[in-house]
Order: sequence, then C-alpha cells, then structure tokens
Amino acid sequence: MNAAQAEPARSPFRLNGRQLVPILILPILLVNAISFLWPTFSLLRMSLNEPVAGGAIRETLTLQTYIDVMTDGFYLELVWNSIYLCSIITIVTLILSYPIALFIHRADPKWRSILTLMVISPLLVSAVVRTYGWVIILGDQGLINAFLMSTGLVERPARLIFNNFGVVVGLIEILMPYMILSLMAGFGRLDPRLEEAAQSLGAKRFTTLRRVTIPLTAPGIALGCLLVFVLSISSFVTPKLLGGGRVFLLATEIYDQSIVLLNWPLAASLSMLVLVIFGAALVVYSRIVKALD
Amino acid sequence: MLATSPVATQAPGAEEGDAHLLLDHLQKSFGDFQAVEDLNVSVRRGELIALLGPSGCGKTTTLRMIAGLSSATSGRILVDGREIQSLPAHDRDMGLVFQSYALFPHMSVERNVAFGLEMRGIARDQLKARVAKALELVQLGHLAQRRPRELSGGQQQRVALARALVIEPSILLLDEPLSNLDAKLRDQMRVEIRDIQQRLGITSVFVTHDQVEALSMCDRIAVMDKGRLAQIGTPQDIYERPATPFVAEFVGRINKLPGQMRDNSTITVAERTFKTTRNVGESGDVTMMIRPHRIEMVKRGTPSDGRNVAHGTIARATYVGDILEYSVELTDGVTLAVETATGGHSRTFSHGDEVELRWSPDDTIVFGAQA
Ligand SMILES: Nc1ncnc2c1ncn2[C@@H]1O[C@H](COP(=O)(O)OP(=O)(O)OP(=O)(O)O)[C@@H](O)[C@H]1O
Ligand SMILES: [Mg+2]
Repeated sequence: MNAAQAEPARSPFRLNGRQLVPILILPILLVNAISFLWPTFSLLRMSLNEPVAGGAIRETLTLQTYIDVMTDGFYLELVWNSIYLCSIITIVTLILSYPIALFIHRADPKWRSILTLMVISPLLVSAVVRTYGWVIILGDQGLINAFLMSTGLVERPARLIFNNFGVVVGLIEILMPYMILSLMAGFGRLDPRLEEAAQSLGAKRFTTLRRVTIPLTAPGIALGCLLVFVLSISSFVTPKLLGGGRVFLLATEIYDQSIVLLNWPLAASLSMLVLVIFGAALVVYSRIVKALD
Repeated sequence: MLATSPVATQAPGAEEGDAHLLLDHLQKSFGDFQAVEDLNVSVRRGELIALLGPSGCGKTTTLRMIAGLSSATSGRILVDGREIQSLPAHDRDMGLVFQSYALFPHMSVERNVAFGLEMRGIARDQLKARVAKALELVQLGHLAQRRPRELSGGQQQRVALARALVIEPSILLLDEPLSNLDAKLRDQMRVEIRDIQQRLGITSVFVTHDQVEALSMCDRIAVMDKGRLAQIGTPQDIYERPATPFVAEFVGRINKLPGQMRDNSTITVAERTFKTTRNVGESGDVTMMIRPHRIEMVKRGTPSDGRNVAHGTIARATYVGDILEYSVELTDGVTLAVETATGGHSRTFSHGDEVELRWSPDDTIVFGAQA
C-alpha cells in the first residue's frame, strides 16, 4: 500500500472534528430550546401581562407586577425567608452528610457499593410519600410526640410540623442523598497518603480534617451545596405539606398564586425571581470553584 | 516453631541496651500474604541505617509501621526502650518522606514545608526562617510560592525531603527520597542528608533499592528479602561477607558458578580447581561467587603467586565510563564477568583476546548449592 492510497479520500460529505461539533451539539440545543428556553421566555412574557380580577389576564407590556412585588413587604419577606431557610437546610444537610460520605468513601470497596445503594434507595420512593412519613413521625399524634407524652416529658404535644422546623427536617432528609452523592463525587482528590502525611507531621485528627481533608474535598462541598440549595428553594410539595400553610416560601407562593388565586402574571414574576436567585447561586458557586483551583 | 525456646526467641532479637529504635519480631500480614516477617532491627541513637531490598520486599510496609500509619500484626516497636504501638502517628515525632511524596496539593511549597512547624506551634518569624533555610538546602528557595503540581517530579521530591527535615524529628524515615533525582543532584542531596543527619544526630532509616546509596551513605545496612531480614551489618560486612547468595547477588554484581567442594578449601568447577579461604563448613555441591572487579586480567603466562587462575577468551567488552565490563568465556564454555577500571595503568583488551584471569582465594565466596 503506498502513501497516496493510505490518505483518506476527500469527499464533500466528510467533515473534520471542528465542523462536527455544532452538528453533535444540535440535538441537545433543540431539547434545551423546547424544554427550557421557550417556557422561560413564556414565563417572562406572562410576567409582563396585567392580571385582572377573577383570574383573567390582559395582554400588555408592563412592569407593574414587578414593582408590586418589590414594594410589597410581604413578598420581600418571602424572598428572604426562602433564602434563609434554604441556607440553613443546605448547611445542616452538609454537616449531616459529610461524615456519611467520608465513611462510605473510606469503606471497603465491597461494602462501598452496598452503602452507596442504601444512600440512593430513598430516591426510589416519591418525595410525597416520604413527606407523609414525616407527618406521621412529627405530627401531634406522631411517633415523637407519642413518646414524649408517654414519658411525661411534655403535657401537650410539641409543635414539630406546620412550622419552619418541620419543613427544614423534611427537606434535609429528602435532599441528603443528593448531597452525599455530590460529596462522594468530589472526594476523588482525597488521597489517604495526604492525611497520613499530615499526621506524621504532627497534625491531630481534627486538625487533619480542617487543614487537609476539608480543603481537598471543597469542590464536592461546593457542588453539593449548590445542588441542595437550588433543589430546596424550588421544592414545593414538602414545604406545602409540612408547612401546613403557615410557612411561606417562594415555591409555595407561586403554586398558590397560579393554581388557587389564578394570578398568573404574579406567579410568573415570582418564578423569574427564583431564576435570578438560581443565577446568583451559580455565580457564587463558580467564583468559589475558581478560587479553590 | 515448637522447638523455639524463650531464650532462642530472644536471641535473634537485636540487643535492647543502647537502641534508640528497636523492631522486635515485627510482623505484618495482608490477609494470607506476609509482607513483613519476624523483622528484628536495632538502630542506635544517631545512626543512619539503610533498608535495602528489591521491590515489594516490605520496606515501605516496615516504615509505615514505624511511623504509626499502619499497625503491626504482631511484634513490638520500641523507642528508647518504650513500646510505641499505641502512640498515634502525630505523637511520634518522626519525620517521614513518602515514596509518593504526598505533598499537599492545595498549599504552596512554602506552606507544605511550614506545616509540621505550625503543628509544633513554632513562632512566626522563627518558622519563616527555618522554612527558608530548609528550602535553600534542597535548592528550591526560588520556587517557594509554587504549587506542587507546578513542579517537576524531582523538585516535588526535594520539597518532601525539606518538609520532613525541617521539623528536625528525633527519628527520620526516608522512603527512597532520592529516587527521582539526576545523578549529580542525588550526590549533592546524599551529602546534605548525611550532613544534617550527623549534625543533629537524627536516628534515620533510609529505604532504598539503590545499593550504591546504601553502601556510601549509611552506617549499617539491613538487607530485606521477601519480608525477612537477610542480613544486617556495616557496608563492608554486607559487601565483603554476604550472609546469603541473595545478599551477594543483590548488593553489587557477582559471578556465580556451580561446583563441588573437594576439601575445606578446594572447589572444582567443571574440572578446574580453585582455592578459597571463605568456606564455612560447606561440602558437596556449592555455588562459588566472585565479584567481577576482584578478578585481575593479565596476558597468559605471568606467574600466578598462589592465586586462582583461569584461562579464557574475551567474548564481549563494554565501555561504561568508569569501568570496562568484560565477558570472558573460559575454555569449557563457562562465562565470567570481569570489571577493570578505565584509564590509568590498567591495560585494555578487546574481543577475541586470550587472557588469564586471577583472583585471590580470599575473594572466592562459597555458599551451599541448595541456597
Ligand atoms: N495494603 C496492602 N494490601 C495488600 N498487600 C499490600 C499492601 N501494601 C503492601 N502490600 C504488599 O506487601 C508487599 C510489600 O510492599 P511494600 O510497599 O512494603 O514494598 P517495598 O519494599 O516498599 O517495595 P518498593 O521498593 O517497590 O517500594 C508487596 O508485595 C505489596 O504488594
Ligand atoms: Mg516502597
């Protein structure tokens, strides 16, 4: 075989790698456009319409709904309450998940897959079912109160649901698998030799954790926190059920406005607000990741 | 095993008296696999001892047990006569240079080296000075602000060395700390390590599979083979009086010829007879060993003055800088390796030259054949 034959024949249908990229990306671009960009655009459009009493909508282009949201103390409180609760949820989920993820990461390989499966298994059960589970546990006649009453520690049932506490507990449990999986994904850089090196240089256990283990796993921590924050701020079934109409969050308010009060423009502008919060969280995340590198 | 009396178990264990670091019947198994078996080594205060052995013989495993990073399956580790197995790694005051360096990737070179001093609560200005000095020592002062991944392998290795040296530990454990350096830098670092080690009197265990390193730097050498101690002694002991064929072959090159003992000092190898003064009670089938550079090569017919003599033809001559390596084929097909220094007065031979080989009965080492 000579050199000329070895050379692939140039046909007009043959594309080089660079030309191939847009073609390969096209399907996902299409899916994204149809399932994300178009609905987002529709929401944006809807938020600029004017609500009319009785659930009707008048098509115009006005920023009035946004102005109402920004000037009404109730909605601002809603935003802060959401960010505040979801931050707490994120931090507590991280603290609870970190030791579990570390334990699984260090476990014998044959145990590791079983443990990972156990972490994932709650995801097989719908969040609604798991939330009702928490109602059974935390409710006035629930497991915990029944126990507390039987021991005589309390006379009347303690309020464990239909308040912030119930929502936080429920969401933490529901979001922990995501946090644990993100953390484990980020543990790749964690070489046990490095922790040993720290110890041989005189670092006690906690110092090793603080100076070596946590910094090395920071990318996983950042990822897990982003994911849990975003999932918690957009989740609505659990806050709805465990909040019992007394916990006001963005997601539940959007639901109420769109389904109950039929004020679609308001629901749409609140949705845009959530999108802005997502954007802000993403910016913070990418800043952190960049700083870590 | 059953026959071993308590006295006998104590006997091979190193003398406890003046030992700074003592490994007593140390044993480590991973499942069924014995990585370290019945290891007895006593290291005196301020001594630099080499742990020499082929890959996988258990050197790193031994160091990790000393450092407290893995626990012994059985046996004891003593420092100044006190057992330290229950002491956690961070309380052992030992500096360890990892074979894989184990530098902290999220810290600069400077922070890496400072880490151990910070753990000891050294004041800031003193800490800075000591870190700078340690980095100077390994010739990396100019790279203090770099991250480890921005360094070459050899530079990383020197950071690892500086990080362990800077804390001036009472015991220094070095796991092939020079394996990735070029010949010149390696020579310099050998001198530096030896210098610091002696100046501060740090008891050191130096793992290597480079025999030149072990012979040139260390007070004593412990040769390990498949998890067991094959021999421990001074470089001269190990090189001149190897205890086993394994040690003889592992430390330096050596010729190996099968033969029979005729009497206590005469060996026959394929109808030739050679004299030896090195036979310790072997008889029957034996292996005769001679170091290539202990063989003198002369033109035929020179008087032999009582030394062993063999005739042969040069089959191959290889120039390797300091020395010339010859392969000499004896008349009956046996091949011997011979080394001579290049330059100076020694004359050189080339392919096909007929030569006479001579060596002293003192250099004729004999081991039983089964070993
Ligand atoms: N955690 C482990 N589990 C199972 N076997 C191990 C483990 N660590 C080491 N070994 C085995 O123990 C033996 C000794 O290993 P070790 O690392 O001590 O060798 P070494 O003498 O340091 O070799 P090298 O010169 O290649 O570094 C090897 O056969 C190795 O495969
Ligand atoms: Mg090793």
